[in-house]
Amino acid sequence: MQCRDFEDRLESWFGLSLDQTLQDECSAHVAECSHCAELVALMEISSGGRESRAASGTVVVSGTSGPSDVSELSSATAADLLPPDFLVDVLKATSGFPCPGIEERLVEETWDSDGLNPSLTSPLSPRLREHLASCRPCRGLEAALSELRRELPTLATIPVDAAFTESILRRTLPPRQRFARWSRAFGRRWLARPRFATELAYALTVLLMVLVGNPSAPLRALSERSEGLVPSERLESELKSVATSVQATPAWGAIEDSLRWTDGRWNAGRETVRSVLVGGAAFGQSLLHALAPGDDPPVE
Amino acid sequence: MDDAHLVERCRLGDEFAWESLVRRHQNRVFAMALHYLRDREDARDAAQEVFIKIYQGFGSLDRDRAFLPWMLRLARNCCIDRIRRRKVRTPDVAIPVDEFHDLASEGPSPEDDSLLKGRRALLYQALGRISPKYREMILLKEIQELEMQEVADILDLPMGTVKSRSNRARLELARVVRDLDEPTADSRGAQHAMS
Repeated sequence: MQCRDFEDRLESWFGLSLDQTLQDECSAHVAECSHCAELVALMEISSGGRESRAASGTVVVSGTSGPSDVSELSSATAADLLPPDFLVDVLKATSGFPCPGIEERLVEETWDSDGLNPSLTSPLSPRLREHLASCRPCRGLEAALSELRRELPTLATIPVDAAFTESILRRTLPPRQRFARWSRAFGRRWLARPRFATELAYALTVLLMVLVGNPSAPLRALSERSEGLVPSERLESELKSVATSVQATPAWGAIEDSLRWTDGRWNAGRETVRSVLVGGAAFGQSLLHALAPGDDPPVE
Repeated sequence: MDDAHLVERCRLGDEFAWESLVRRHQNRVFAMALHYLRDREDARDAAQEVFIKIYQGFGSLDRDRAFLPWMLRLARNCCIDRIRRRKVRTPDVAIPVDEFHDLASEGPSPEDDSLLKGRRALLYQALGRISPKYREMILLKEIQELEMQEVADILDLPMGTVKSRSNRARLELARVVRDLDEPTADSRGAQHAMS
């Protein structure tokens, strides 16, 4: 195996993802070639994986000892060694922040995440997630986009009142339908009034009085004719005979006695109230005189 | 009963179908007018005008065309006419020379009780801050949820322009919403401190 071949397979060999034959060939080459062994040592240092790889026992690397400071650093992971603002500094010094491009991509991915856009299955999504994990403004933008996608359709309608509909219908329907509609609405409103029964009875009474209840009424003759239809003399005699028979019963005497007693009590009570009121008025007048002795007595 | 059936019944003079159609779409038309005109009374008048035009224009509606985009286009034109008339009435107001400014006024946001509460208030505020051409795109594409082709027809724009403008409008609106949510955010460079 040539060094060039090994370099092409370095990452795969390091990740133990080659087939066994190639893996063995690479390991043999590293054991023989000091240049590639140094490359492997650097790879282990940069990924912090020397110990775990050595512990796996699949590869034996000889001659990989490097400078002493590199050996000391190799015990830490790459992430531990990285300064916190390393990426920011690099981006500032090189390409600048990728946010503008990321934002456009974010709009497409956030809005079309329902899969309607087939072009969005590119491998950018994981990188986008990586960027979002470390960039607060882009995270805020992603949150805003997600919320907007959900909330904007709720602004499609704003409730209007019933008068709005009526107004449109009044202005659009033909006159005949408009009148029919108005009369239905008017009738419903009228019937819904709580005093409707009273008002209706009052109106009918007035109408009856106007039509038949006065000497100059147009239907006066109708009422007189209706009186003639009733046999009034016979009815009067029957009522008198009923009254006579009632007065002849023993209970009638008791009823008359109780009526007289009630009448007496009522008159006595009325007198009592009257005397109390008169006495109270006199007392009040004398009290006023006592409180204001200088005033002249009221003129009788 | 869907829109097509209702429209067909309306053509035959069915008043109940017309009432049903008005009830079904009145909230949507009013919302659209309010987004354009940003004044409740004006929006109410405009929405009524839209329905009167719809009623008078059933004959001009192609039977093969969908009712909703036709109605929204009518509403949009009606609102733009009103905005232009409003400008004629108030010539002393400074009007930027911008072809898109015709599409929406820069008046106050719809100052209404419940609308300006909570999240909706923020959305209205953000919509008021983006440029009119983006606001119109958001209104048709995201709020009214029209198809790209329908939006392109209404705005008389190529599909490619609609797609790109739609994305830019989303982005601009999202930026405004984010900034409104985080009013104390620092400058962009400072924000990039790794969290």
